[in-house]
Amino acid sequence: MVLETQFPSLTEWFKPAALAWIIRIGSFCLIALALGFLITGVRMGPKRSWAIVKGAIKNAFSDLAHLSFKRIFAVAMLSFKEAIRRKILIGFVVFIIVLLFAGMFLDPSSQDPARLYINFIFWVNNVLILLLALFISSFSIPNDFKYKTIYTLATKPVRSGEIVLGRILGFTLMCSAMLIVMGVLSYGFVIRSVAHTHKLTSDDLRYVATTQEGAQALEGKTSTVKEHKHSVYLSPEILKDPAGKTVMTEPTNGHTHQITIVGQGKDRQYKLSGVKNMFTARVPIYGNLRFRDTTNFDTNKGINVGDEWEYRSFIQGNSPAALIWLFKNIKQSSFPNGLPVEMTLGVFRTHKGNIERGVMGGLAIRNPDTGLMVETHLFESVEFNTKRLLVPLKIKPASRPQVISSKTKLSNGNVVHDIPENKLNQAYAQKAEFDLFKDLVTADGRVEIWVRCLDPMQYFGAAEPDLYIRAYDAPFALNFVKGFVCIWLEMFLIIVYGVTLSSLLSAPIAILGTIFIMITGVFHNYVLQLANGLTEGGGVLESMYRLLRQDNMITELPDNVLGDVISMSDQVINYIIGFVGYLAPDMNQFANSEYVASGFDIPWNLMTIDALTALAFFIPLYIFGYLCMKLREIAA
Amino acid sequence: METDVIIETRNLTKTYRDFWGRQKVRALSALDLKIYRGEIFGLLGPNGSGKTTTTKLLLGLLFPSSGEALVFNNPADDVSKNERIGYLPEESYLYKFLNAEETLDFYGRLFRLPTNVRRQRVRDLIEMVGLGWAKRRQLKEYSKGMTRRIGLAQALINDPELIIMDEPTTGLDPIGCREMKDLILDLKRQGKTILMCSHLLADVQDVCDRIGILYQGELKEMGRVSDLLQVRDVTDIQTTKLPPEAEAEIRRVVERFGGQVKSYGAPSASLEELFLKVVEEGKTHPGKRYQASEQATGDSKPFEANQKKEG
Repeated sequence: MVLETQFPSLTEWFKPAALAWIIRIGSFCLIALALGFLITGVRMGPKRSWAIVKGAIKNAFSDLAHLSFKRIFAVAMLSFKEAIRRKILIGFVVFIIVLLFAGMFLDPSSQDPARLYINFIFWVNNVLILLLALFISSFSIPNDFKYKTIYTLATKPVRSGEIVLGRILGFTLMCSAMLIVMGVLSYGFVIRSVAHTHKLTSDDLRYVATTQEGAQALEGKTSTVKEHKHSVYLSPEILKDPAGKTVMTEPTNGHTHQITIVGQGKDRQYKLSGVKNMFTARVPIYGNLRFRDTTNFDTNKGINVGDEWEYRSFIQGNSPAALIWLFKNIKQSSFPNGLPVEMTLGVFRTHKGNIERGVMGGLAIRNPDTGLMVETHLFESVEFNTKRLLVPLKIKPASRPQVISSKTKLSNGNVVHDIPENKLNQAYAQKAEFDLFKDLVTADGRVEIWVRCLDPMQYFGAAEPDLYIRAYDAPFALNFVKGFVCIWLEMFLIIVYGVTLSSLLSAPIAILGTIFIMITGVFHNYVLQLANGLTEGGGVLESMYRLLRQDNMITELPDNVLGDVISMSDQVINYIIGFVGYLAPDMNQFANSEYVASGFDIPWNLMTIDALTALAFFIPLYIFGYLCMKLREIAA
Repeated sequence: METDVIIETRNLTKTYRDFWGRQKVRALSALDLKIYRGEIFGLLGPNGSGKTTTTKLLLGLLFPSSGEALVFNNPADDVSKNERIGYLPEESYLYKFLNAEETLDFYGRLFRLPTNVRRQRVRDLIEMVGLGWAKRRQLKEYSKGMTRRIGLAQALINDPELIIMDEPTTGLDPIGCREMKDLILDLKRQGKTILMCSHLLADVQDVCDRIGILYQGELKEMGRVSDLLQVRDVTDIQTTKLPPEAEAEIRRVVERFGGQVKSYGAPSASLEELFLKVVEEGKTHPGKRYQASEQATGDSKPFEANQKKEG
């Protein structure tokens, strides 16, 4: 799975994020008050407006103290009923229809059906629930004003803050209920859609010779279902007494089946189970990647092989160059059977070599304290196929073990070793068999995994998430739920934006505003780049000027007043774009269905960051919505 | 007596402006008003005279351009005053997707009434406004009169001390009007203060203790109804029906005292009273046509004069 942006750990993220939030929310409150002052000022004159704003600040604290959950809940239940009675459940009918017909359009022979179905189902849920959330949240308060129901509501002892919060809560409850039902149906749909089994009879199998003297194995293929079949191999050990034994088929299209052998001799039958191992939620432990170059020095980047996408960095084959991952907190209690390593390497061939076989590589384990490095596997790599290797507890080295230090050249030319050369003890390497945890993992759980490319003139490339230790598998159903929680967070944000904007604007404008903010959120990084003048071709006006003149992107602006006006105006525009950019959350952060589709557990860390981000946007938006309602002349 | 002032406005002015802040209409100018506990105050005036603007300012639905509005001695934009207020708007602005019970329950919850009190009050109010038979129907199916009734019920859900009514009898049939007026008097007997605005003068005359007359945003007249309407140079005598020969005698007596009889005969009743009588007759004698002409000839007993005015 490609993880282009590394998300930080919660502890790393929290402090700077909280600080930035406090600064922004402070300025946000000031801007909100200034806006309120401006709008009422235009309508009633500055003196009156100032009195209203001052009163509002005083009232705000009093209102906060008097917030009543009973009233909020009453407004929430009203919104809930409103949504149901305004036939919002039609969205549900659309969902069922989509599910009923989806099967006709999804390719059953897909190489990775799990990904196909999961991606599809998340997409449908996402689109439907977000549209529903957008529409119901944006119409409620404007309708209160349009049909003047707000007159009756506002003359009851209900605070503006309670109306906004009640609306948000009600629609969130409504959409959550829908999302839960849709989620359960979706889960059933995915599981049911890929469910199948194959047939295997004695006629499908034939005896083949094995390396063991006189022993024979059975080999064959299952029947074809959903346009694929599985290879089957029954080893001589199983064939000695096959009745009741179980074996797995070879994996095809990302899954296997379990075969149970029933009966003896001619009556022998093979019963195949349903789909196995298709839906996983791997919990990976990622390490920190560094590179060793051909001159034995550590670097942060490898070689660029000319790929525009700079995600992966490469190392040269048949040289000391290596990809080095440092893992921390690896304890034997968590890995009683050894270290399960999974990797997806990029392979760059400068010549086609032996096209029948992949490029050869070696995987070694190094103890960062003693410098002992033992090669455990020699493997054949195929580009972009996940390679699974188990580093056993007892290791017989695949090549001669070494004791080496890792060295880095500093910017001032000095060289730093992680272990001083005079402290390298070659005696560590004088063993025929090594114990993984005693010899190669430090007491505090650090261990390095080194990957080298063995074929000359070929290259291996990797990014940090390309090699990981598979800690364990989380339940798939839980991961599916986590994926839906991420959709829920997006939905919640849309409801918050919808309700907040509609407390100030009319329904269609509020909808447009919410859509605009969500689109800004999807292009969050680009918008911020644009705001900070980091995009190629300059700012908005500069680009437009070049477009109109059909100039090249790198042409200089004219060195005259026009050029100055364009640059200065762009700075102002960039400032505005930056402001708008910070109004929107980075929506990509919530789009985590790719984890579920790729069979990776969505990290709790990421979930917590997402939830806190949603909360961080909710609070100022709520204050803004409250102020809008409070400062608004209801009967005007 | 200062504590008995429920509503007070000081120099209350409201000017409507357009988006650019230019003055459009001066809806209310410099209104000074005091309404005391337990009285029924009527705000009168033609359409656009500032009656509704005044009530909206008092409820905090509008912000005053200058001056101030105090309700229970608190500024009108203080939400907590709403705990003691019931408001019946000009039209019942209610959620059409709720039924009568749900509507009252919802507003009851906003007052944080305990569950048992809320349920009891919902039952009582539905009973009082006579909508028991339709309490489970969504309000969108209600007729105008029914919507008005449920609107009244929601205004009373918190057993308010002050009730503000905007055109309370609009949309009601004469029976409904009469019931509404009876109810207003009943509320007064319970010690509640009522501010109603209306342009239906008969309604105001029937129930109000004091009135204020607004015209083009300015208060033109204010005082007790009985004082304002009293015609000081005319004496009105009403007796049971007399024979025709009594007329000459009475005229002579009046002239002896220096007076002059301006009119003599049976008084005409209001159309409202006729209507109520017809309906009453229809209830007691179904299928029988009401003999209006017979009664109007004066052969049978005359209408009782309308003595609804309360001192």
